[in-house]
Amino acid sequence: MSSCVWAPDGRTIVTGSFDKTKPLCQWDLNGDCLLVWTKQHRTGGLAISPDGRWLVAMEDQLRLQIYNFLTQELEYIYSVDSRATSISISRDSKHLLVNKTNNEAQLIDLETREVEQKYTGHTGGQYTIRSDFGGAHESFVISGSEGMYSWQKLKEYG
Amino acid sequence: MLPEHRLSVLLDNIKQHQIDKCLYHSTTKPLTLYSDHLCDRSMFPTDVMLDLEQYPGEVYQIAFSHSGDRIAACGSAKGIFIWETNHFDLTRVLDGHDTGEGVCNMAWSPDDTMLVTCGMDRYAKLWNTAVRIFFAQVTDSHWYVTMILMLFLVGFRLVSASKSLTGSTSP
Repeated sequence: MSSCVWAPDGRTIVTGSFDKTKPLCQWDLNGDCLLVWTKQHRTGGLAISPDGRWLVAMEDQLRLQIYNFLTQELEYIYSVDSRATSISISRDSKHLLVNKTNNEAQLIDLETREVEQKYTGHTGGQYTIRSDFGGAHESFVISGSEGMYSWQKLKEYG
Repeated sequence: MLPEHRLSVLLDNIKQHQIDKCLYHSTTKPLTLYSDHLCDRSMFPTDVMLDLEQYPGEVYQIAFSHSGDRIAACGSAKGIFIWETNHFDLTRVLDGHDTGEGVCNMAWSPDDTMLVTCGMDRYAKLWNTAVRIFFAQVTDSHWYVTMILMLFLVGFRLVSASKSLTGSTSP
């Protein structure tokens, strides 16, 4: 098991694994497997949007699998230029934050699939460095590093 | 024809714009439009307030409960450690992952009554903070070794939007 997230209704759990026979499974709270979503990729990290619209699975390589959580359909695959180490989805369910091993984090609009912001300055190299949204009104993006970094989420206003 | 509550929507947009512009935004209080909004830099958390030192190993992940009343840490040790966030007393150690390689990921349930954790022992476990409920297993044999490389460096303060933290941070 590499990752676990709750469905927004709190009644099921989705787990990710590097095992290709069970890379993305949905469970009820009794421990019964309700659904094996796919066997097409390994999963190193997971995020579900608070509105229940999106499920994003981070592969161990250079791809993010973006699913519709309601229909369980794969909507698109997002390729990154360097291995992703963490993913998070904003409280308004609009943005995906991806931290990568090339010392850059990206803010991606899940609907338009476009990069809205890039955050640099932190260092992590090949280590797993997490980033997340935070602060009052979720105005900031933070990341681990040698030390810690925080950015204004929407930098053009800065 | 004007949609209903159009003015109110426009005013909310202005408020959001002011929040987006506020460089050190650190308050959850409702904004007023009587004056331009700007948070003082001194309110922004920049100093270490407290070190939580009880965890016996490398921490891979920390997670505040949604209400902000607890913080959990998992990592290279077997147990998942939980502190309350009023005085940051250690309140619970969830011990049950049978592994010397640790626990790599966890998530609070939406209502904060449960925690799900993933161990390098190939089990995901569901906890109700006191009782361990075993619920799933996968065999990820040779792949889990790569996860040991995880290093997690993060300051605790900024992760939370809870008032007790930002309010007590010294300038």
